[in-house]
Amino acid sequence: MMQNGQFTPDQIRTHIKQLVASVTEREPDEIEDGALFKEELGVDSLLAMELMVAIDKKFRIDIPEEEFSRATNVNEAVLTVQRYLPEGAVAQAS
Amino acid sequence: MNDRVAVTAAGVISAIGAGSETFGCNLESGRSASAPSERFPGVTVAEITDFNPQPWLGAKGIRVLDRSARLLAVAAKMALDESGLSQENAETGDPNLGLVCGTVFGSLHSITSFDWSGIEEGPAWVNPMEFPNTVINAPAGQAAIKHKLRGVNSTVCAGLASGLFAIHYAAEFLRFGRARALLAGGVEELCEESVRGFAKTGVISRSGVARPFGVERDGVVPGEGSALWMLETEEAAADRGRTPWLEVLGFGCAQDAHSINGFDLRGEGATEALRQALANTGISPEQIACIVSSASGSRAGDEMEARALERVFGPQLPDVPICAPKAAFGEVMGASGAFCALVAGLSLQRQAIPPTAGYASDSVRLQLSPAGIPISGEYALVNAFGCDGNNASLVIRLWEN
Amino acid sequence: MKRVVVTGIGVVTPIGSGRETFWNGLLAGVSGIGPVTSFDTSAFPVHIGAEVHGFAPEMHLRRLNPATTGRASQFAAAAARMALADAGLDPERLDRKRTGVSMGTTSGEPVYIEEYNNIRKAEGADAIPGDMMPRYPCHVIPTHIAMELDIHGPCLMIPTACAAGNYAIGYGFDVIRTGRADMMLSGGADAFSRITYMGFSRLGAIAPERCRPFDRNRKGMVPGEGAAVLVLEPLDKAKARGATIYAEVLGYGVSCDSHHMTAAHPAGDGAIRAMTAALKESKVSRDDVSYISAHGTGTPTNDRVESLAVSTLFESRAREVPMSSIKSMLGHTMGAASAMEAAACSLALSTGWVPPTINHEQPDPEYDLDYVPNKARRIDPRIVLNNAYAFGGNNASLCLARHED
Repeated sequence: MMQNGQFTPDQIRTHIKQLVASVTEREPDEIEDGALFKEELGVDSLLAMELMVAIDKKFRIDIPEEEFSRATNVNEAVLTVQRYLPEGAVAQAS
Repeated sequence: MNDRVAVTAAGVISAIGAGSETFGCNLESGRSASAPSERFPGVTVAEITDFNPQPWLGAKGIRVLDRSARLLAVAAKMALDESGLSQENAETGDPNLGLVCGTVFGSLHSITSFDWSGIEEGPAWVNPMEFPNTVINAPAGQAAIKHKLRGVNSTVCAGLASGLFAIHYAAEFLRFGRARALLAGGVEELCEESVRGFAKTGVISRSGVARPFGVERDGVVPGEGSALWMLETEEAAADRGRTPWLEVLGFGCAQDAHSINGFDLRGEGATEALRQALANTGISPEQIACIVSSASGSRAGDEMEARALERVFGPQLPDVPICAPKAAFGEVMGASGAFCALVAGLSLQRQAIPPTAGYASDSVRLQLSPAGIPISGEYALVNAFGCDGNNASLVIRLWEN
Repeated sequence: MKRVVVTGIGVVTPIGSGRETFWNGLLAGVSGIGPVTSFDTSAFPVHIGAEVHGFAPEMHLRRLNPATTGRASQFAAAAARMALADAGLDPERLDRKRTGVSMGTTSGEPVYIEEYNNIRKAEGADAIPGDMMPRYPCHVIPTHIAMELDIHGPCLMIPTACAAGNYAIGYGFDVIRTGRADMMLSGGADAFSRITYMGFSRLGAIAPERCRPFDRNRKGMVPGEGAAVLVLEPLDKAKARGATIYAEVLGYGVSCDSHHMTAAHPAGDGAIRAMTAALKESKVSRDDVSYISAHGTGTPTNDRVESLAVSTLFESRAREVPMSSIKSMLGHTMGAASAMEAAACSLALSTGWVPPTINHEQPDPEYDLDYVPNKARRIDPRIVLNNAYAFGGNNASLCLARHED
């Protein structure tokens, strides 16, 4: 666990997968990095919004809805979160 | 317009069991579910302990359903399966099959929690998925999605009379030809917000025992659950080769316009509801085989009902078998009319009215009993009288071709 | 079965109270949308609403005590009194057992939930008075009308959210035509609520500046509040007392999408079935429909699906049926909305004019129906449909007709 709200890219990925798993009622290890939210995981517009708010809360950020809707899978969501985390919050894994 | 409305199945989830069979057996045994609450320390309630909807609803797809939606969906599943009208294997649901649900508080807990999360976390971080559960018709909407009910869908609220209003509303819709089959009844959940209020205002029985009509009665035991009937037109049931169980007959209702939270001891609304139900059935009070009362242990409410019954039945009232089943499953509010209607149906079927749990033989005005009472006759009367001004009565009988 | 007519209209709305002010405002394109004043919206990304301003309950209520009556009930009781006055009826001389009430709502009395939580936050849960929660349940709204006017007939609340007004008026229609009552006060009421506002805001559904139903650049709905009550009577009794008859209620249809809690079925399936059922029950064909009062919230999705549903049902005639949304002016008054719309439909039938959809600047290229853009129009409609769609997939369409002697 990093200090001061820092997250390694791996941690970001893990958290996002956990949240996606939670809203889609799957196990985290069932969520593939490239699986499409909408077409493959059944994330409709309301679920997407729930996911976005949960991610915002987790990382204490505020991703604009239009921006988040462009993230179609876990990989892209990770990149989006990294873009919106404040400077210094993304730490290198040691 | 063929007027006859049939009951072809029932579903119930209650503090005295799940399913009509268990519910009926526990009623007959005279058990009461009143007990110190596990969920709300220090309060006596008739709660559904360890409620797990999965045996009926499966493990997936119910995450976003709150307690009221789960209770309703469970009762719906039972009635759909028993009636043979389950849409589980249908590509799209039958548009002539629907649901009418009565409730008082609806998803009160969901609404209060959503608002609370806005206070605690700020409006930006409330969970949008919780917002749809904050409308009072959410349980009915969720049940419709879960069970593919594409027909008429309505939620009705008439206080403690909601359950009977829902049954009548559905019956009328069937008579108007707007549907062929409708689940009808009610749901109510126990939640922190309502229980706290009951406890504080002294509504709850201090002794922890609801004694409807009893001289020593000292209050109500709040309950929860859902009960639904499957109502069908005579034609729809016949087309499917189903022999109906019961027939829904005359309904009566009246508003006291006295208070939103206090029984009107004059009992004029209750009296009027009783008279209308009998008149609309075309029968006189002597033809009533048994009465399932709305009495809950409330000092004022039970007195009001007793007076209304005396006015309508006159000196023969003590001859009419009567039970007060809220002593067993608690005051289930918006669902209570549906619960009591189910008790009436079971009574007609068994030709015996169940015991009133914990009854202490201290009423000379009414023929209650701590044991079952055999009945003879074809018509049962169900009451649902509220401290909210709403009063309703319904007459049913076993189906005859 | 009896024929049912509308003989009185009472409204409390963001553009004013009373039938005349309401109708004149609608025809003139008056907007009731402005900055929210009833609570602090600084933590929200949006700040507009359609509130009722300057409502003084003591001006309308004679029996109810405003201090212990929630705002939705206050609106409802005031609208009920206004409706009776509009119908030329003396509330002291009603047949109390043969008069009933049916109302719709989304939220009941949310102020008590908000107060509950405010006290909980400030002082802890033990400080919350016990008698607060009994004031909240939605059945208090019709009961309050009954208490205000001393009415004892059939009394029901149908809380089917944004479609509730139609359901309630439909129930009133049913009660009268089967002879269970000789008069029904039917409609809907909702009070502005931070819970509702927060929910729609979090969904991204609230428009930033204006409500622009069916416009290409529409950005959302605007939460509102108010009440509308119609006096419904059997035709024979209305004629016998020489009542002014605004319109006749022919029938209604309800359906359930059974698809999603907040998003409409993408092909408008439930909406089409509700309209079809209403027309069938009313014994009129889609070719007879001269005007549609749309649900028309102003959200990109609702308006698209609604236009699709109308196009699908009316086929080549769709463009010939003017369809306007008065939510462009009133905002979305929730449980009161379709009741206000039914009032507007009744007035359209009796006056010949239909209200516009204001803020219409650019047509949406996807659908080019006639939304009566910006200016009211005289079309002398004969048969109108009033459509309403709610969370939970509840859909209701009410069909009304011009009354001709």
